[in-house]
Amino acid sequence: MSRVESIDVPTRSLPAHTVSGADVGQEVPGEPLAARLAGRAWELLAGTRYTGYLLVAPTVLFLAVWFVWPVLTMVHLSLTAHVVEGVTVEGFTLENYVRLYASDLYFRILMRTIRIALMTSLFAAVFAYPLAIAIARGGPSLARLVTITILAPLLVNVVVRSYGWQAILNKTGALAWLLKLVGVSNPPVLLYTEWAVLIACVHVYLPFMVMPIAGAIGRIDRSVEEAARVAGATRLAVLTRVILPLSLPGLAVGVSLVFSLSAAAYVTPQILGGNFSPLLGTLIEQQILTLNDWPFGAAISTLLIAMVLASNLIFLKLVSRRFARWTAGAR
Amino acid sequence: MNETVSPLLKIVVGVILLMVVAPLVVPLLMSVSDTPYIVFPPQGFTLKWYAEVLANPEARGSFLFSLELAAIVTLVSLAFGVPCAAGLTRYRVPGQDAVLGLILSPLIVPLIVTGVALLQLFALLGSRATMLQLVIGHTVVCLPYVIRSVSASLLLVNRNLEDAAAVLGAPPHLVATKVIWPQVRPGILAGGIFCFIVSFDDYPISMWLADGNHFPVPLYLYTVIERSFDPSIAAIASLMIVFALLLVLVIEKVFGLSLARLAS
Amino acid sequence: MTQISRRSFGKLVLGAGALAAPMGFVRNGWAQGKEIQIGIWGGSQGEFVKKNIIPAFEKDFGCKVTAEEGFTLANVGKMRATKANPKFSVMFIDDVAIPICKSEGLIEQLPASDMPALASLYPRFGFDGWGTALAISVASMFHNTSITPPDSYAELWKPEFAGKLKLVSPKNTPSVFFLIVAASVKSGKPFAQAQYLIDDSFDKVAELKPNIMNLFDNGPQAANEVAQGQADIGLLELSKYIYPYTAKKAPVTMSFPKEGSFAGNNCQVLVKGGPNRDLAVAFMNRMLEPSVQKAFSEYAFTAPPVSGIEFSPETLKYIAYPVEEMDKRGLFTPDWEYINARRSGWTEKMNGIFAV
Repeated sequence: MSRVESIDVPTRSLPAHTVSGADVGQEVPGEPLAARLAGRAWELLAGTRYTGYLLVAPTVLFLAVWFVWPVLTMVHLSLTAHVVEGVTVEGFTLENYVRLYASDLYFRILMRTIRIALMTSLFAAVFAYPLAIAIARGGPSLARLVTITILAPLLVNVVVRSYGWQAILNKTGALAWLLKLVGVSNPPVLLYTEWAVLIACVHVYLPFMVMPIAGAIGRIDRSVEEAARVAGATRLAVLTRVILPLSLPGLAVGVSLVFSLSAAAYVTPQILGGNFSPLLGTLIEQQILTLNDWPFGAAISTLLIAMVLASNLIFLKLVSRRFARWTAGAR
Repeated sequence: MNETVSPLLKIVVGVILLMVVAPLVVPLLMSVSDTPYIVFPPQGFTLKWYAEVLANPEARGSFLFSLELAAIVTLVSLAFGVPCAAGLTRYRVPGQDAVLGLILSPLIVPLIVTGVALLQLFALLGSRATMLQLVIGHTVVCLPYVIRSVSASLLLVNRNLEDAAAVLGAPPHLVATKVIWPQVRPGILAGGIFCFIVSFDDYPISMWLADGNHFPVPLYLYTVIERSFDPSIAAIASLMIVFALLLVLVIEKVFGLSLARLAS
Repeated sequence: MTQISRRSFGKLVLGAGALAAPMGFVRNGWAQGKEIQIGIWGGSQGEFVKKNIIPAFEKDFGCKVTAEEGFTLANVGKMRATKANPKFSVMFIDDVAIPICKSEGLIEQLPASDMPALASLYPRFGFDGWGTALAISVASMFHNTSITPPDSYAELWKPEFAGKLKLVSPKNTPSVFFLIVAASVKSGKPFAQAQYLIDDSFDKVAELKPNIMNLFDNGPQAANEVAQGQADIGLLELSKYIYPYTAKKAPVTMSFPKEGSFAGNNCQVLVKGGPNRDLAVAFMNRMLEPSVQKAFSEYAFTAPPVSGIEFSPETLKYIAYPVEEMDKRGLFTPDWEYINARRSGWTEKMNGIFAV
């Protein structure tokens, strides 16, 4: 039925009001073929009882085979082997996990990992809001400038960026040089401290915070802000009472991304933290690459995964009410 | 467009952007230093490091390979991710939360572990198809980004517009192409861009799966750093920054969509 | 496309490749069209293998050799992960890893009859047939040329070096050398005995902490920082990472305290069950041939493991060769089996000292 109809009535010759009547503001002339094909596919698929399954299944299968299975093999390894004096001993064991408890080293590094990941999320959020507002509410050229400046560095490998920070933060680096120019006689050296790790983490993961927040702010109906402004609200009040609460879903996405990514960071702690502030990721790398102790490396990974999962769940609980309202509204 | 951004905000944004750019500008300065090691401020001026990098067939080979890999990974990830996001947001799929958790989980497993686990699996299967392995490995890592941004834009699709269009007699495929597509296109583009970037920049997965014939840029960078720590590294970094800017401009031209509206 | 560009580049450097002309081998049809993958180290050594040794070998044998220039530490991991179906035929690893690979069944013994070049290999670099050394570096202190380095490691504990030392991170092999140094300083015993006293020496390690600026992972980068004057002294690193800078007139060089120095042995091993074993063996033999070894050593500032190679006095400044010179300089090779069994525990203690 619908197939015949759509062949008979080419897109171009449709009565204008049919579509424009629906107020499709963003309509772009010269629809790409792909879009039309996708639309047709959509039409054929939509409405079947199993459509949802069919759409989701390929991805689920793909991840089950190429991600879940191999990773579970590693977790399994942490329970079925441990290394004694450089020799792997097979058989079910809790030895690797006992070892995590036995020394307070791992607990303290776990705590540092959480601290750095939290602070990275916090600082990233603070820096992200002005940028996100500029993208969502600024003029086209400002928005463009901010987006490009935020996204382009992502293509430059994190190692290069870390060495860039090193050149800025070291004893004879750009920051010290600049501070001396302005007359600071004894500038602080941030390199090889936890601060350097934090600075680099915020820098690396900032885009992952900016983009979802900008998306959320862009979704806020401008008339809400204007209404608030007309009702006498200051810019600050609009920010704290309107933009902030309504952009929470974006913030939630950003925080969970940034927290998860920075918790697993291992390059920046090495290069900028001088290995004085290793995170769990650093220890995992050490076990797998240097000590060849994969079972223990897998156990530390399991600890890290559990921590990140738990943190994400707690965080989502904190914003769940708004989150639920958001998703419900959209359905 | 009415301007709703205060001058104060513009200043704050300017300062933050300067900080974002700083660690990229410093390599730029150091890349012209005429010394056998890296110094700041640079001493002398030379472009020989650029000449060295550009004349190096390994550098060119890695660069072209990374482009090819990232492009394929982006297409594959979109092919999986867009339908999946549609299924998750527009249909009732039992266990939806579990599925979402599964899709996002590659973000929380340390990549070095994912990489070695995959290599073991491939060896077990007897696979020697390095390219395929790399595409699979990168796609696993990229899918969360694609599905996240496409779902976000699908959730935002205004159902009232769809209903209105349908009521006014638009056939379903027109609703899809004229109403839904324009609204989700930015999300798909954003997902694709993130995917490309994540693949192009990946080290920990490639470290395990790559070989001498398939050697992405981040691995090449590591070998350069191990060979000698001279300003050619800064030159590579600077070239990558230029490439990133060019890429962004090309995306804008080809897709005819301002990146500025990507997020909104 | 990497492969095309590498090949055409290979032609360009054939002039240089000619110095690696075949010695004991007659051009053989058997290797025609065969292909092997090898895992090599990074650094200037990797560069030379890729640009000079491999193109000449490919031409002589009509074969294809693909080298993955990797991160040394990952090479063992890769062999282990692909044990079921090896992808690599030859691996370049450090001597520290040979006992591990042997016990895990990742490598096989070399067929001496098929490797004529083994005849001139110094026996100490033969590892009972489980691999051969390819290049011997000296591991010691490196320093900025503006300072006078101490002639004993013991002096590094003095407060005048507060915040001025860079220490190698536990991730890298020379970290073990440092532990032996600390044990030796504490006990006053030579390295050979001190290596068994490491367990009791961590208080000495902890005492050095105030003098440590950072723990470095990347030797060339640490050398760069010392050259810039960010730190005075780095301990310890292999000469192959430092001397390329010295030769380029960067203000950094090495010194050899009276306690002695360490031998860093870069080795090659034959992967068990790897593809095209015959070609792999031929390649390993080529790596040991005198013409290859001479050029390789001169390029990377390392000493060859084979006898009878003539070097210019300029090169001999940077390397300990022949074997009598290594003995004279007291180049020490630790008891890796003893150390590998304990390294995990030591790393944990190092982390406890420096990372908390």
